[in-house]
Amino acid sequence: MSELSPSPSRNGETSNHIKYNVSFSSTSKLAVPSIANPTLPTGEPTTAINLENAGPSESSFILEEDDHHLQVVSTSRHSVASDSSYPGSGGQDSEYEEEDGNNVNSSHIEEEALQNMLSDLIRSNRSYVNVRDNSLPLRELSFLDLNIFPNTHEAKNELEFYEKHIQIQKDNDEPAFHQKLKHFFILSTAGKPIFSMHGSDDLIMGYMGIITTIVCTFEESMKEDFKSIMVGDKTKIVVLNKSPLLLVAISQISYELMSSNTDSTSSNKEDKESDSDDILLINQLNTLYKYLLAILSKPTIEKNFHNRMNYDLRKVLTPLDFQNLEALCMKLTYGLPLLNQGESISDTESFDFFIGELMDSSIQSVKVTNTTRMKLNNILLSCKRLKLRDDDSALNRSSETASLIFNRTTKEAEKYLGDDLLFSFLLASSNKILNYMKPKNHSLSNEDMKLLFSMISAAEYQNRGGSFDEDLWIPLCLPNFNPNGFLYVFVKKISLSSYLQSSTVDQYLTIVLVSSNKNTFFQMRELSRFIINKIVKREQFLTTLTDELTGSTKLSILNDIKVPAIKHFIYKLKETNQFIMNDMVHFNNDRSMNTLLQLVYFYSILHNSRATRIKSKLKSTYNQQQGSNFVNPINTYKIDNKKLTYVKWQGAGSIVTGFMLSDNSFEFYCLSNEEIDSKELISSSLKIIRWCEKYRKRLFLGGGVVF
Amino acid sequence: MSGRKKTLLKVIILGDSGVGKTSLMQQFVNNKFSHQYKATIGADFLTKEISIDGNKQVTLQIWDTAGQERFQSLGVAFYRGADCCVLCYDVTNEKSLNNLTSWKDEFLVQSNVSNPQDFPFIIIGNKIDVDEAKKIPSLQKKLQNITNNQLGGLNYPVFETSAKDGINVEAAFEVIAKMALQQEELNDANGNDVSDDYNDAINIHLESESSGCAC
Repeated sequence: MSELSPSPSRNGETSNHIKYNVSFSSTSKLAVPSIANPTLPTGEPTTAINLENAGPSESSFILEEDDHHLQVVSTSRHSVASDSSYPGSGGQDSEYEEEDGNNVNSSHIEEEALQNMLSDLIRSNRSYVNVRDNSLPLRELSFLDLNIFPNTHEAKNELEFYEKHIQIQKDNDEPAFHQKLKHFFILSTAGKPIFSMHGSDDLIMGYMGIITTIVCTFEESMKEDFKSIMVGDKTKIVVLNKSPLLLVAISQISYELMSSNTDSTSSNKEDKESDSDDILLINQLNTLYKYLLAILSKPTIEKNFHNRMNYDLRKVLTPLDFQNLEALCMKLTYGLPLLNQGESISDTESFDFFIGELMDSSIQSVKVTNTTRMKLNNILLSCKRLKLRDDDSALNRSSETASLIFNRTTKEAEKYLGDDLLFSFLLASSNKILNYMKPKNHSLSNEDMKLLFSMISAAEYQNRGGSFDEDLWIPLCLPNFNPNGFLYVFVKKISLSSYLQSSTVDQYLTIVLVSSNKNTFFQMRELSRFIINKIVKREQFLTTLTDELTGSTKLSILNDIKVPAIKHFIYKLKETNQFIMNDMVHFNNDRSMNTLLQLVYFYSILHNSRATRIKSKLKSTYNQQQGSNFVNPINTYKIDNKKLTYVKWQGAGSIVTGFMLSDNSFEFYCLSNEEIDSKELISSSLKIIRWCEKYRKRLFLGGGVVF
Repeated sequence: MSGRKKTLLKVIILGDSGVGKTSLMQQFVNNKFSHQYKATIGADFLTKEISIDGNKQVTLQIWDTAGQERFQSLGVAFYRGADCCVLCYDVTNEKSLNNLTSWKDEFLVQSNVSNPQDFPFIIIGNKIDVDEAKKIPSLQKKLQNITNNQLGGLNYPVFETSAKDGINVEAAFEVIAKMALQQEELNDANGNDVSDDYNDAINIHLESESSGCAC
């Protein structure tokens, strides 16, 4: 417990009056970093990208780390190039079958070794496992049973709990404000509020003052950055200082406060440990910060605050921006979408986003056959070859207005329609990536892609129920690519099924064209029409594509992989940091908030206990979380470069088993909610893993095509 | 693309310990007065919405600081990014009047405002409700000396108030809000607001003959 208590004790009767005490004690256990004060390099780190200097076979980009240090990351091109992933032959996906035959012996040995290891693991932890009370009737698990969140106000059902502790509430109700489990604040270093997840302006104003004062006091008096503080053992406050902006997260959520990510026995660097404890919340704050960069760009923010620290950044933010920030807060914390009163969850975009963030900015891929992906790639590639003058067929097909523009641009003597086209994507359901095309000397980081997709889905959310005629043109700064300037994004969503007479299901495809030139809207629109035309022109291809997408967005373990014991899994390919998972509906037979929050919790625990390295065989760390019925024997065994983790939750008439296996090339997570023994767990898991390896080319798009 | 019309102003209240800074703020925000004296520890934060000229909505974010010496180290955090500053003295305490200049200097040093000569200050002399006998002898003359002093003079609007009886308190805060708003509008008019958004296009050179990829 820290000595510094910013406890905003209520002072008397006024509702907007906050008093605080600052008494610094030398024994305070504040989680201030002991690493050297991370100062920004003086001068503007503006020339992050030198595009001309990027070598022909290497793409360089800058990642801005949490501690302001700039780190140059180079990606060797051959690792992301299309050549290795897309052999010219195409169409056949059975290349791996023969290899399977060769590996049959080694994989049997592996399976047995893993099974033995897991049963040892389970046996050694028997004392921790509560034997299930058979008198309790089996019933559906509720997230309330898991004690994920402290239910001190005894909410009786999930909805009541959600409304009290989770749902965004912007009014002046201070007791309700304090019951929220998660808070985000964005403020200026002068203490002026910019954004708050909950609470009215009046309500939060005082807290902004307190936060500014604490952060500034550390800066001034101790020459340290204030990073995080634990209040008691249930609340954590993390601050990200991006002067002139401060971003703050306050969390009381158990899976966000887990501190099992490092090996406490071998780590002697205390500061590193405390940093990694905060990394989850710091990443969340970085995501919010990057949103502001994306819509404003770094120079705009800096210019506005230059010489006037009293600047109110809210002046340049629109109501839509505030809504997008709210949506981000909910997605980052709970994997939940913004819901209106009584509205139920209609898609899994927010959950997909959460899992992607959890898996270290992983991008979700869509399963299609290699042939289909190749055909789509070729359509994208032909965009770059589309000559204005020669391609008469494109001209004939385009509408009259377009051909007017078309002629005009011809006069301007442009050679290619897609000259300014930088990146293009085909997306299934707005966040699952089907195809990616990039120039040979530039790349987008996964973080930038996620930001881009997030913007697109926010725009589509705005357009709910609208027609598909809308063309979106969004100026966007992609901070990892270049924090100082804008790219221009053309987005067009089409309903594939609307082009088919026979189809009954709705299947959408989103075309995303990223241009470097703000005056190329009409060219991009022309390209999108070209792409649509190519896709829908042959009914057979269109039918295949629609069927494949419909199947893969609802990927089922039972039907596609034929493993009944596992209800949900995530498979992440480390090389390209892409993942796939099956439809969440198979876990509890619904896509309810209850199911979603359970998955969020189980995977958070599984993922966060991943890096625990325990060398001795029987050693285990046992974290009893708030005295719950939560059985958490986090153990990790190391065989070669493989790691495995096993977690079991039990109680209230339900049982859930979580299992993680990873090596240098993949991470695999799965959940089962029925009785399952270690043998079956391992063999089922390995079956899924082998399936993923076998269909690797269908499941993952690789590094994208390069023009 | 203005998101909201309400202007947020950060107001700093400075002055010696016991001159009634917290009482002034309480009177202004909550219309309350307490006879009990409690020293402010560190700072208090209050907000109040007022409308200026009948149409401009302004939210005042009031930072009430501790007058006591031992809390002075909190400096920069309070002063940074302030829109205006209220300097307070006690009409019965001559020392508090004489200290006004050093409070102002302290503020300007810590806040690092870009043009100190235009920064909005006002002066409040509090406790005018007390007996004449207790007040500073020849107060007006002494006050004039301070405000009209050519070197670093405090040539700002002066208000005499009573936090106890609620005299002149609202008027004083309205004036300070107006001054800050004027300054704000002046800044915006000076083109400090970056209005030409989205024009920082990135100059990207893709090699021509880009279709040469063997795929």
